[in-house]
Amino acid sequence: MAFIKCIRDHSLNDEDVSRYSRQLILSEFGVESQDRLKQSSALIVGCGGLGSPCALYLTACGLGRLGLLDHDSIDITNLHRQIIHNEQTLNQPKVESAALNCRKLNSTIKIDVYNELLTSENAMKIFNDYDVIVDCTDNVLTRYLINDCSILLNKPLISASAIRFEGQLTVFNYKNGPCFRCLYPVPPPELATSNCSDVGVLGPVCGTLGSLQALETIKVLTNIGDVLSNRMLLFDGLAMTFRVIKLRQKQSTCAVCSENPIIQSLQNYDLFCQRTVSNDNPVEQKILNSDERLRADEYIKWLSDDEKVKQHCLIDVRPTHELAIGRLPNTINLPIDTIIGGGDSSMIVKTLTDLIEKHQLKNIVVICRRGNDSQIAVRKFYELLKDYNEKNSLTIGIKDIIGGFYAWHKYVDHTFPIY
Amino acid sequence: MTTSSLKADENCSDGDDNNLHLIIEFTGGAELLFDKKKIHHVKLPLFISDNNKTDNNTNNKKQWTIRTLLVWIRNNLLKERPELFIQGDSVRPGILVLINDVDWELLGDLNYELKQNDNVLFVSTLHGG
Repeated sequence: MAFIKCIRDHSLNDEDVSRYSRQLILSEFGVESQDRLKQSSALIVGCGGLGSPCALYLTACGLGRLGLLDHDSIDITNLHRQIIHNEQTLNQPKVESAALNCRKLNSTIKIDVYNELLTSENAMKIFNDYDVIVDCTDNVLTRYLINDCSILLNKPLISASAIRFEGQLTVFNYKNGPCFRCLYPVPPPELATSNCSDVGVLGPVCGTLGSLQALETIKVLTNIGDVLSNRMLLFDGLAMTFRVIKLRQKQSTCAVCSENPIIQSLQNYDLFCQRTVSNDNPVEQKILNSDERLRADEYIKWLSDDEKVKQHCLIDVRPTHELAIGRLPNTINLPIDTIIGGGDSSMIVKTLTDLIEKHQLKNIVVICRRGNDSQIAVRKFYELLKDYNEKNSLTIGIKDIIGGFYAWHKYVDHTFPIY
Repeated sequence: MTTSSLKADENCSDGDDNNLHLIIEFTGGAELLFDKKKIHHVKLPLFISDNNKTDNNTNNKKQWTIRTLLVWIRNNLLKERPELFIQGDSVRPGILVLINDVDWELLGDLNYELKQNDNVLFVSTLHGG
């Protein structure tokens, strides 16, 4: 019996063919795309809510080499959405935990880990080794850095973001499409940006966007389908809508991707964005002077003085729905949004003056989750009560509690729930 | 799987040639400045006078543009912290404006003349992940 040798138009081995069979039988994809994936590499910047599913899918699909970059370690508040990590890897570096789980899923993939913060100093060297960059980060500053570096090295950039119930996805610098700076030449004001630890996010919203990033990465690497370039997907998980909008062309005036770019090397992004926060961790603001503030333990001592107790009230300025998590007795809830909202402030004035008159108040103490909103509220209360104080020759003391309920938990009551 | 933009209901402007019907939408967190309401069905006079007073006097006809609509939105829809929505006579950096799901940059941005039943979408860019 004559031996007839099989002809293979690819470099995959039998295990590969078997493992990836369900995707390589897709006519649009085929063995050729699988072969390409095996020769390709992608770098995921940020191993959080977006990076988790993205890294798993790119590992599972048979990409040749995957880079994982993150400087952070795993916190318990990450696990509801950052599903590549688990209770066993708590407090460990995110990249190590992510790599461990990727290797468990597919041991044939080469995985590189970068347990470091992405900076203007290290970005070029790291990015240079990869075909595609995937932006799974959580802040505007790093997004400009990643964009500029991708443009300077001419790499397609798969960019997504998620917060609350919404997500956005687009591919930058793909086949002459626009870049992040074409869309956003000027960074937004710091107050207009929010992070997951302040405003929250539902896990599957990140999961949806991160999975779609993996899909677009596969399409870019294998050159199949219509890549989401020049377009942006808007996902609204609450309304359950996917909406695709048409974006502007690459801008001839763009500072980084135009023919005559102003930016020819990486910049100082802290300066450009006028902020230094480059992660999910909240900033501690300093608005009030120290004599306008009380430490949580000072407040407790202060409470032991009967006269003061009778003549003060504690105002909790958190959003009303958060009070159900944990609150102190005999507090008044005035949400910060109501206090600083552009609407009619006379309601706030009336609430405050009614309280003052009813309880013969001499002092108002304000508390919030972390001690930032309470400072804003104290300033606003001073302003709103100025006329009233002058008219009635009163001096109402207004102070806030430093560090809010975080400090309360730490210094006064360990059983107060922290979130 | 794409949900196309809501069009102003043809029925709402049925026979009503004296008004400009628009759907104005806010998303990506921009809605938080508008009482958390994402979709606003808006009925405007067909024309606007120079000082942005609504005006149906045909002697002083001026088409609504995004520029004049922004002033109207600021005065009529915006509930708080205008600086987080408006900067100068335009939107603040980080907000995309789409007309019928097309980037306003392709349509003349502030000078785009609004048409009957246009959908105007303001998208605040998200950064979380």
